[in-house]
Amino acid sequence: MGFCFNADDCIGCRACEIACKNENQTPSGINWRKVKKISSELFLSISCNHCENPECFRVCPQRAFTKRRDGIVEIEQSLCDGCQLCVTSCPYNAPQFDPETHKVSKCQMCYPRQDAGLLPTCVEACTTNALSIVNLDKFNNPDIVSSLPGFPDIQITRPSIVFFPQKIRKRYFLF
Amino acid sequence: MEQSACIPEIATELTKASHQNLTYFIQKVSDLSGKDVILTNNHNQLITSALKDPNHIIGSIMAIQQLEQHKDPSFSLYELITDSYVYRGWGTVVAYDNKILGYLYLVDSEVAKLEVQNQTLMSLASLLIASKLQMKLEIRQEKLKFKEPFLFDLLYGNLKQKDDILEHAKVWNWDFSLQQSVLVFTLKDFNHYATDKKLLNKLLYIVERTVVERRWEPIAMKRGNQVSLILTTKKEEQKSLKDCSRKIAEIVLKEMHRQEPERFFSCGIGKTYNDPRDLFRSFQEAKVALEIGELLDIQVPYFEELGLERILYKHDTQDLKEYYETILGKMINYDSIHNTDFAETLEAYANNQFDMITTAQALFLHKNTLRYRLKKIEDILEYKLDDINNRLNVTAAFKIKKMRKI
Repeated sequence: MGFCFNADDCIGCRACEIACKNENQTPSGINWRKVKKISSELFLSISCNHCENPECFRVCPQRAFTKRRDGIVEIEQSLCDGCQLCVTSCPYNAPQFDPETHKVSKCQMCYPRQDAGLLPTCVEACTTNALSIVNLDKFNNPDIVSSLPGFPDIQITRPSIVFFPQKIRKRYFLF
Repeated sequence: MEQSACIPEIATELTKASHQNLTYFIQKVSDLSGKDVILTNNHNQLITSALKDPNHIIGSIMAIQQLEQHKDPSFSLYELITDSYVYRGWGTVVAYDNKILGYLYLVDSEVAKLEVQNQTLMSLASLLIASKLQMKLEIRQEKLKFKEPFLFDLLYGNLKQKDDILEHAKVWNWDFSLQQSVLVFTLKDFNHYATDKKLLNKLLYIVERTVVERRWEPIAMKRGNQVSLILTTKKEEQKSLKDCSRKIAEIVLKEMHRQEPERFFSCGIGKTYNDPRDLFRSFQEAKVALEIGELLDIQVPYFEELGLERILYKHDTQDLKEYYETILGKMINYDSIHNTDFAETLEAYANNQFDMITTAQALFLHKNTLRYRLKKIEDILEYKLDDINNRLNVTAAFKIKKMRKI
């Protein structure tokens, strides 16, 4: 399971970011999903990408991370001792440290919702359907790309996200 | 008038022996028949044998030929060619519910006739063996059903209790109490919709076969475009786990290259851990080693041996670009303006451990020409190349370039 982001459709409304915050009740300053403006016409909505080779997972001395069979990378809060090694190792800045609780938290792809047959809240809230979830083992589209400008290096971690790039705009003049 | 049913002694003996393992049972058949007994599976591979001559040891069966059929069609005379001797004897099919599970042979030097007593013995023995083999098959199928989920949980750190892992592993006779490490093999440009899935099955088969040939337990799992193999230390093994894993990786890659020369297979090896709860770490390390190995053209990369690359691969790309620019930028500019290849010379010098003679040989240059070139490079870069810190900087800069960060 992974995210599919259509860069052409994203208008930067931040509905996904707000929906995530509402659903997960994350404290102020902690946003599991963030929308970044890369250029005047390109926005990127990034959360944890539930990588195939998660670095957060490898470096955690407390073995607090697990990967479910559907690919979702979870963090077990009770095991986290707040060492922040995962925070520094993740190229996507997905794990976020809460100075009040001294714990790290991150997007869990709304697995309780998914287990109940619902879509992740960010996907459901997306006003333009730019964000969706797909089965990456089966999803095949010739237009998809594995990275976009402004997206961190995917080489080692192999994030579970694919992108539809922006299309080149054409201008038509009526005479 | 009352008639008492009498169970023949052979039947009683065989039934009693059937409660023991197959080797014991075959020995019993041999004792009762007074002949050598060989049991094979449905692919004619040896399961067990009971031979009177202690010098006769069967390693494998090379060929089996049917010579003639008995009056009773369930018996035939066979010739068995093994790796050490050629045997002749009567054989019968071991079948359960019309499914052939194996073959039972009574072999001897004089095999012209199959006595009635041995005919009965073979019939009864094959029935009992069939039920034992069927039971084994069912257990194996049950085990397989749980094997992949267990390996997934093990490799993705979902099992947090060491005792649970050790206990669970006993189902497949795996021992995780000693050292272990993970090897990951991958097929490049994997396509879910092409015949690549079959290719991956072949990779899994070759990995398992290579491990079995070396008398190790094949603890392997296929997922996506990867085959992961867990190697555990064996007490009797002289070589270190590191050497064994490297050897296995080399054999598998060589075999895959031989069979599929047009496709690219690579491998990565993680660190060795004592605790099975850390296997997920070794698994992730193997995958990192695999990725870096592909970038740096290392055939069998070992995570532990990657050194500087381990730090560089996860460093910020912009930072690395700036570093590269600071260390080699002047020379790259000079090369592009004056159409020279000083960068190539310096890279060869760094690759040859900053040794003048080997670099000159590698570049087919005279030593004095190389000396002149290096002097020129020093002038362009404005630092000395005999300084150990500068050498480290240059090496790191070229590693960054090689890792396609630039």
